[in-house]
Amino acid sequence: MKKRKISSSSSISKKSASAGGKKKKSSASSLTRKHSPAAKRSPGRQDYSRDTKPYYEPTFHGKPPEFQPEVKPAPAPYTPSYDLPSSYNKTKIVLLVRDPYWVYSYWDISGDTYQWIEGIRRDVQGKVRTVLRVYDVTDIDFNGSNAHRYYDIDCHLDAKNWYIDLGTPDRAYIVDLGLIDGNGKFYLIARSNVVRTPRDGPSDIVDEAWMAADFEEIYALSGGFGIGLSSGEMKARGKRIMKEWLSSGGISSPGFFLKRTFDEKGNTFQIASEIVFYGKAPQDAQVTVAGKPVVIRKDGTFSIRYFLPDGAQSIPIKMHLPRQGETKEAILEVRKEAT
Amino acid sequence: MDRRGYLLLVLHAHLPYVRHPEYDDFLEEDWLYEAITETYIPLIEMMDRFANEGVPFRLTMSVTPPLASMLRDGLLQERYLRHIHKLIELSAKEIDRTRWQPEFERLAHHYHQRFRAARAVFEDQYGRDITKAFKKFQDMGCLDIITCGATHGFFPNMEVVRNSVRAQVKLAKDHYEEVFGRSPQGIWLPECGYNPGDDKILKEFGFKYFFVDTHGILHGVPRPKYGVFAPVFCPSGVAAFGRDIESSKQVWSAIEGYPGDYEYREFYRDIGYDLEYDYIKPYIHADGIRVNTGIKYYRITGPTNHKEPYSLDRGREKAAEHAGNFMFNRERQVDYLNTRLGRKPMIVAPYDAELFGHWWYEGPQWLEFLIRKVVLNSNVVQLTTAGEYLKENPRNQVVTPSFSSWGYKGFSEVWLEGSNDWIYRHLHEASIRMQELARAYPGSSGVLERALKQAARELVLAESSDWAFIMKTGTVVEYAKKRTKDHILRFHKLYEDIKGNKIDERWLSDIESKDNIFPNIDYRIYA
Repeated sequence: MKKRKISSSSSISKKSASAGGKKKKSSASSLTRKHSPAAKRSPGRQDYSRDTKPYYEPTFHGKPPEFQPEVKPAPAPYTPSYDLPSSYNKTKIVLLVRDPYWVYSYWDISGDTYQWIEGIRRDVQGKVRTVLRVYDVTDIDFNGSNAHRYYDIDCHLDAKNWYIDLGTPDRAYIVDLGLIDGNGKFYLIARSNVVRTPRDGPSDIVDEAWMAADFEEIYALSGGFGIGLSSGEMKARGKRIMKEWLSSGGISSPGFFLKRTFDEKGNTFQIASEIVFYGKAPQDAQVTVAGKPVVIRKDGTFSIRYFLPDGAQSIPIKMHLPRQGETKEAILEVRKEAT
Repeated sequence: MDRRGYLLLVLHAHLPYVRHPEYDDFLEEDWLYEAITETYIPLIEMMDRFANEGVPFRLTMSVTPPLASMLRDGLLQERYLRHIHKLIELSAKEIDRTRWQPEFERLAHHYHQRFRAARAVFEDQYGRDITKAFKKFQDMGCLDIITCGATHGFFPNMEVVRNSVRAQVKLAKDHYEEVFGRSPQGIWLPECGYNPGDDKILKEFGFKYFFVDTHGILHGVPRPKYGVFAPVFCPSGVAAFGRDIESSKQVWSAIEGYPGDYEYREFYRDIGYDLEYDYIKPYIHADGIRVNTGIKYYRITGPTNHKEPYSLDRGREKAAEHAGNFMFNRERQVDYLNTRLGRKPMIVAPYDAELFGHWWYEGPQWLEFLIRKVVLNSNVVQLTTAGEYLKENPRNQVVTPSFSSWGYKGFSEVWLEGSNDWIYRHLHEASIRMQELARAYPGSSGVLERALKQAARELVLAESSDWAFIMKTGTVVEYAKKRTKDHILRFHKLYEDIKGNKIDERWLSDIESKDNIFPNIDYRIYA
C-alpha cells in the first residue's frame, strides 16, 4: 500500500490558490535568481524577469482561446543547399525538459499561420504581444481552461525558441504560443506537448511495506547528503550537496575521445637535438651503427636517427661485406653541450 | 560463498559511428583505432588471462551498436591493421632513436611489444573481429554484455517522438542478436538518460534491467527503502540499478581520483606532438596534422608542465596499490551498509570503458588487480552481474525512478543548451516523417525498400548524442555539425524522393556505401 505522507505538490497548488500571486511570486523570484545565470541562455534571446510578472488567475484574461489555427502539414521541398530548412511549414510548439527548473521550447510557424498572425497585427488596435502562456497542469487532463494556474512570458515570435524558467520541480506544464492584443484577448498559435519537470529531491511518498527505518540515513549513505553527515541535517543541505556532486564535472558525463583537448603549453621553450647517420652501402652489406644493425634500402641508402644526449658520444659505424669477408669501420666523436 | 555484499563493475564501451570510405585517412576514425589498441585489446587480454587461469570473474560491459558495427566492418578492420602496422614501424624506429635515453628506450620496447601483441590479438586470435572475443567471454558466463540505444541517442530529448525511442531500443536488440547470438537482457541507457515510462519500451523488447544515475533511484517514487544499494523494479517490472557515488568518485574524480596520480602516465605528452616534424610526419594524419600516436614517455609528475620519464614498474605498483585501496574501501562500505540496511548491499560502479587504457593507461592493470583481489581474496565483497543478482534477490521494491542522466548537472543540459539545441527541431521532424513513411509503405521491396531502410539509417545516425555532446564540449564541433546536417539532409532527400516516386538510385547506392550501419535495419519499427 502506498501512502501519501506530506505531499509537497498538493500544498503548492493550495498555496497558489489561497495566497494568490504575491506569495508565489517571491518564491519564484528566488528560484529565478538561483537558476537563471544569464550565461546559460543562448545569445540573442531576450532576458526576461519573472519578478515583474504576476501569476494570473485562470479567468483573468477572460475565456480560454477559442481559435485553433488550421495546421496544414505542407513540407517544404528539398533544396540541395547545405543548409537545413529554416521551417518545415508546420505550426507547432514543442517542449523539452532541461532540468527540474527549466524547459526548452522551440516552435515553427507555417506560411498560412504567418498570414493569420499578420492579419491580427493589422486588424486589432494597439500593441500585439507575443507570449508563451505557461499552464501548470499537474495531475490534470487539460482542456484549455482548467489549469492550476498560468502566467505569460513575453517573447519574440521570430526567435523560434526560448528557455523557460518554470522554477518548480515535479510539476506538469503545457505552454501555448499566442498573441495578446491591447484588450487582453489571447489568440492561440500553437499548444505544446505536456512535460513534467524532474524531481530534485526525495519523494514524499512512502510505501509502507518498504519503509526505511531511517530514510535520511539511507539517503545520506547513498550520497544524497554527502557522506558522513548526521541524519539531522536539513533536506536543503542534501540537495545542495547532491547538486555539487552532479555538477562536479570530470566525474559524470565522460566521453574521453570526444572531449579530448590538449593542455595549453603556455610559454614553454623546449629544445632537443637528434643526430642522423646516413650513407650508402651495397645491398648485401651488413651495416651497424653503434652496434645496432641498420636496414639498407633497395636503392642502397640507409639512415638512422638518435636522440642526442648531453656529453660526449663515441659512435662506431661498421660495414661488413660477407661475400668478400671485408669490414670497414669509422668512428664518430660527437659532443653536445648545452649552456 | 557467503559474502556480505555485491560489487557490480560496468564498463560502458561506446564510440560514435565514424567511417569515411570517401577519404583515405580520416582523423576521427582514429578514435576507434586508438580505443582498440589501448582499451579493448588490453581488456580482452585481461579476460583471456582470467579464462586461462580459471579466475571466475564477473564483469558487465555495454558494447554499443555503433561500436560493435565498426568493430565488424571490413573497411575499418583493414584500416586498423594499416594503423597498427605503422605503429609497429614507428615504435621500432623509436627503439633506435632512444638508445641513449635508457628510460625511454625501455618504453619504446614496451610499446613495440604492445603494438605487436595488439596486432596478433586482433588478427591472429580473433580474425579481425574482436566482438568475437567479447562473445566468447559472455558465452563462458563471466562477461555480461549489455546493449545501448541503437546509436546512443539521448532518450529524454526524444520524448515527443517516442517512435524514435522505440526504434533505438528495437534496433539495438536486433543488432545484438546478430552479433552476440542471443537476446540482450540488459541495456545501458545512453548517458543514463531516463525519463519515467521509458522502461515500458524496454519491457516491450524483453529487457530485464538497465542502469541509472544515483539520483534516478534516490529521487524515485515512492522512496527507495535501500537507497541506491539495491535495484528497484519499475512498474513495468524492469529492474533499475543505480550508480554508487563513492566508488565512482574514487575513479572518476579529476581531483581525488586515482588516474591523476603523479606516477601514472601523462596523457598529453605524446611523441606525435613532441617529436621533430619530418621524422613523425609519416605517422600522423595524412594532411600533416599532428595527432596522438599512443607513444608517450612521461608520467604526470606534478601539476606543472615539468614532466619526468614514466616508469612502467612504478605505474604498475601504483595500480596495484590503488586496486587494494579500492577493495578496502568497498569492504568497509559493504560492512557498514550491511548493518544499516539489513540486506546485502549492491554497489554499482560504472565507468566509461575508454577511460581504461586510453586515458588512464594503467586502468586495465588496476581492473585486473582489483578483479583478482576481489574474486580470490575478499571475504566481504563478491562480484556479480545484474542478472545473477536478480536471480539471487528476486524480491525488490517497486519504484518509478526519477528523470535523470549521468551528464553534468544530472539532467539534460549537456545535450540541450545554446550550442546544440538547434538540432532537435530537425531530429523531431525527421522522426515524424519517418513514421509517416513507415505507415505509408508497410510493405516494400527493391529500390523503394532500400530507400526506406536508408532513411531509417540516416535518422538514427543523426540521433547520436555524441554530436550534441561534441558541440557542447567544443572539440571537433565542425565535424559534429556536419554529421548532423549530412544525415538530416540525406534523410529529407530520401523522404522527398520516396514520396515523389523519384528515387535516385545512384545517389542511394553512394550513401548506402557510406552510411552503412545496420544492414538489416527494420524501418517498419517507426510505424
